[in-house]
Amino acid sequence: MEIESQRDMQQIGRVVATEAKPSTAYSFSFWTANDSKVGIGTLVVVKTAKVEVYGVVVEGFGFTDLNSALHDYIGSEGDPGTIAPTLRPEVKLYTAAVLRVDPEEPLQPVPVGPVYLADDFAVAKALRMDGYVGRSEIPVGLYQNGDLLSPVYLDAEFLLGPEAAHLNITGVSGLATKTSSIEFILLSIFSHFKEDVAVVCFNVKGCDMLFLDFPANAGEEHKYADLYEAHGISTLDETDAEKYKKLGIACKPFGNVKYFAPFKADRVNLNTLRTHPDLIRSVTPLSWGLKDILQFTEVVMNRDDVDAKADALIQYINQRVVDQVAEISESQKVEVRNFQDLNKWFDMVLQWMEQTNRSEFKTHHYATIRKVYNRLTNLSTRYKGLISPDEFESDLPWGEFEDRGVYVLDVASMDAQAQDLVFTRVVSKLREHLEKGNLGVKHVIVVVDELNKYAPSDGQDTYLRQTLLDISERGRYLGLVLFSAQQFRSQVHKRIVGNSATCIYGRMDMDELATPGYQVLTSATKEKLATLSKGQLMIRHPHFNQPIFVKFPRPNVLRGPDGIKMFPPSDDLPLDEAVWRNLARIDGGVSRNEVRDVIAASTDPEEIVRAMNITLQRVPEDPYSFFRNAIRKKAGVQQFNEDRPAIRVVSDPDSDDPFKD
Amino acid sequence: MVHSSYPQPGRQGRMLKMSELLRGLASYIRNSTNPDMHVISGQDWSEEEGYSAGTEPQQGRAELVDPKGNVDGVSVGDPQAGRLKYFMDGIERKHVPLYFSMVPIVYGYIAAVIRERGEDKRMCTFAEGHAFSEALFFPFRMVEPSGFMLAGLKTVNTENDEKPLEEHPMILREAARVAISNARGRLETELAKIWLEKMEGGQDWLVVDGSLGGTLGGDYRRYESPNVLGVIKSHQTQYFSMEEQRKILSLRAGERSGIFKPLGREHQAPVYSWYLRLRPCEGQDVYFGLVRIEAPANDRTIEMVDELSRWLLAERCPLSLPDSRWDRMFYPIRDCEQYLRSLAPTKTMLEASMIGLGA
Repeated sequence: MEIESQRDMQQIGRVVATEAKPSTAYSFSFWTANDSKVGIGTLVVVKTAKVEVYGVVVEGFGFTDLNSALHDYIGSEGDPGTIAPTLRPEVKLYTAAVLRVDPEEPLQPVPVGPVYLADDFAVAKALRMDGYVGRSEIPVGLYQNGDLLSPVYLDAEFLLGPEAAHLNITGVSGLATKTSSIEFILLSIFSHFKEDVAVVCFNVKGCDMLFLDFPANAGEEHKYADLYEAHGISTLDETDAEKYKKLGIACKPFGNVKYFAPFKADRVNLNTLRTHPDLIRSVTPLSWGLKDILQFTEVVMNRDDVDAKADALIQYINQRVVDQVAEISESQKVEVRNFQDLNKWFDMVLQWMEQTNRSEFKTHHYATIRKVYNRLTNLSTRYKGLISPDEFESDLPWGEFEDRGVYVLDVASMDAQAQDLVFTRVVSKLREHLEKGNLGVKHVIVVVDELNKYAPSDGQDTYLRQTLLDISERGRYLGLVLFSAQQFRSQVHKRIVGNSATCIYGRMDMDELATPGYQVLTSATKEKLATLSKGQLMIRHPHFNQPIFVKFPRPNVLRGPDGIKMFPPSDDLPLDEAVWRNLARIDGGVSRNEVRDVIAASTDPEEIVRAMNITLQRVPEDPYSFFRNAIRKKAGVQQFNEDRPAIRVVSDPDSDDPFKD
Repeated sequence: MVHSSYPQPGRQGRMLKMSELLRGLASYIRNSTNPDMHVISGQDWSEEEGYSAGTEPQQGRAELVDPKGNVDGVSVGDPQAGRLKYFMDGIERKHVPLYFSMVPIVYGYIAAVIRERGEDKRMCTFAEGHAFSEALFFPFRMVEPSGFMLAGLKTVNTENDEKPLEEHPMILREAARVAISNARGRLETELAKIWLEKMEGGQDWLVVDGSLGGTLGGDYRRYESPNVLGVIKSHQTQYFSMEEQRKILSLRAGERSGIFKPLGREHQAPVYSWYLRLRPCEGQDVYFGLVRIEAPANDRTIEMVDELSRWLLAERCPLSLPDSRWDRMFYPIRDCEQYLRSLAPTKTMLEASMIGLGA
């Protein structure tokens, strides 16, 4: 990609330097004609024979030759309605901050000379984009100079690493700033980034990111064209299409989106708003087992609970009990593969200690074991939809992440601690796989909204905040990039926003702009920020010496509220209906009545759920038969011939046992 | 030599030639080996002196032409938006950059402009309505001008053959001042002619800062009914006896005096004149807000005197502050001055051009 050189720029003003307001090497003033299209954020060029200075307008003044308001009052005889036959000349004077000087040495005050509106070429030079366009550019929007729209590019090496990384977006809610701009930039990255990349989105509120695979506008050939028309959903217009064309981005939604959501407490209905029958098949349950959780017990357990003793016991369980045949005594052994097994192990240990009148088991005190037992076994109850009590597990496709894939984790309905767990574990796993280079992609963008909630500048330290800090400080070396958003940047942990090399600002609240973090902005820039219209952003990027205002097209992605209108969530289904629908996801031919009959014959709903989940996990050729066989009878007759039994209690005969006969 | 510029609002790339003479003079001085030349780089610079400079108060003569037969004050009515669309003023700059054998060589810069009030009520320069000139003024009898002329520097003889000047530096400087002022008057006359040629027969009027007779000179009679008004802010000449003058000085805001014809202007176009009080003068000097208006000496002026006065009253707003003559200065006239000042060489420019030449 090359930027054309157009050197017939339009002169719009002249530099003025007075003793009271001299030019410096970093700023200069210029006046313009009254009708010139110059405003705060406009890029201009000062051209003289020896030097070209590129600047951005940061302040504007307008004044007349009137010395005092009193003079106007007197002249009007105190009547504001007086119409003077002559209007005073009115000058518009702007202050511009220097973005770049060519040649760069010697760095001198800006000379007096003509001022031009920057064209595409000048915009590229001013923002130093000429250094990376054609190599690692990511379009981020269009800079408007008068009637001209010039593409503005970010440097992928400073957005996605390794030079710098991370993106932070700030803006008030409801003005298409945060979610829309993130979606647009992701689309842009997918179109232009030359290496493989995937995105993990945490949908933390409502339905913001639950329809990324649907377009904002559906063409006539679209499967749901009628539905779009019926709901009057068509949010993109021609100007958006033109912007996409100008930026070289395909105007279409994400092509490869996978949704993940935990179950509700019933473990059959998914805890998401994307439960419309037409869409539910695209949502994968998020259900973690014992091994997945045990590494993160400190996240979900109270800090006071996990003292040194408890931690030692957890480590013991992790290393010596889980996923192996654990020996309680010579005669008692149990293989622990899930929470049910673990409960069994705890029961057996405690029972053995009581029977043998021991106060310690493997150096762990009875009270510690009891305490950890309570806390651990409670997890599968507390996070019933997320943590699987049995061997059923469903997780992100670790090791098989796809290039340009979007993985949306809907955690909007989870409580704070469960969100903590999801964030921490997912990010840890991402880091672990990226370190080993076996994730499937080289770069992963983690998208987190409401950062002031999850990584606040004050308040108690949380594992989630630590996780986010960790990404922001070390992620770029691994290819792990954080795209975060929040309403109040000032309330986010300084190290997280400080590590974001690229920052985007939408319309801001004046109270927020009054905080110290915005002191570097001029009052005019702040006022512009407070009144930005939809689709306008201010960008700070390592290559840009000053913030730049750009416009971006609306993402061609169905907005959450529109998606909900078109695809209203289903009510929670009864067990038999939910099981049938889930099984029908892998085989549309599964008979509803047959499934109902099987369920009716069972007395244990937990077992039904377990059998359903196992069926979903294994995806057998004949789901119905597999499901039916997977249901274990209450009497303990295990019809399901699994590779390994879920629980195996081994009781070797004790030669000293008085009751052996 | 008069340079006329053709400024058009918003026109790009317009080059304003300013003080080529100063640059040429600096080059001349630098190359000169004349030991009699004494260069000055730090002298006062006159920006404000106009026609009235050096004018002593005097008693003039007038013929009353007002139909009511006296100078008594008449209310002209409420201010009224009129057809005053063009305004003209001029400026002059004087400086003595060097002496030749103690004869002051005076640098003079004169400029004049006609500014037009557009439909948007903003002032802009009338096409061909800006002119300026610069020259060195000295008596050729005492300093040979050929050296300057060879260097391409314009020179003006300040001595009249009929009346030789005394060899007194201050007298020579005063002679230069008068010559510069006269040159400015001629420049304004030249511009006014351009306007009259172009606009004759039109509805719009030109307001000139200063006496109309001087501006139009002897060419006035060429025009049947020129729409031109002169506004005189200084009152060095009193045309009536003290008793009559008392009535004039007692005019209240919005009142005019009777119309009269100033006499003793044999070489100038005849004009009708009247006084007009623009602002209340209670607690102020008796001349506060008092202007004298001149208009072509014809019946139309007598018919329109109140209407013309009302048009002028409407020009009181906006104020011309911070100009010290704001009570009598119409804002568009001040705009002319501001325009000319913005283009005139400044004291700094002159000093900069002379830096290092005096050693």
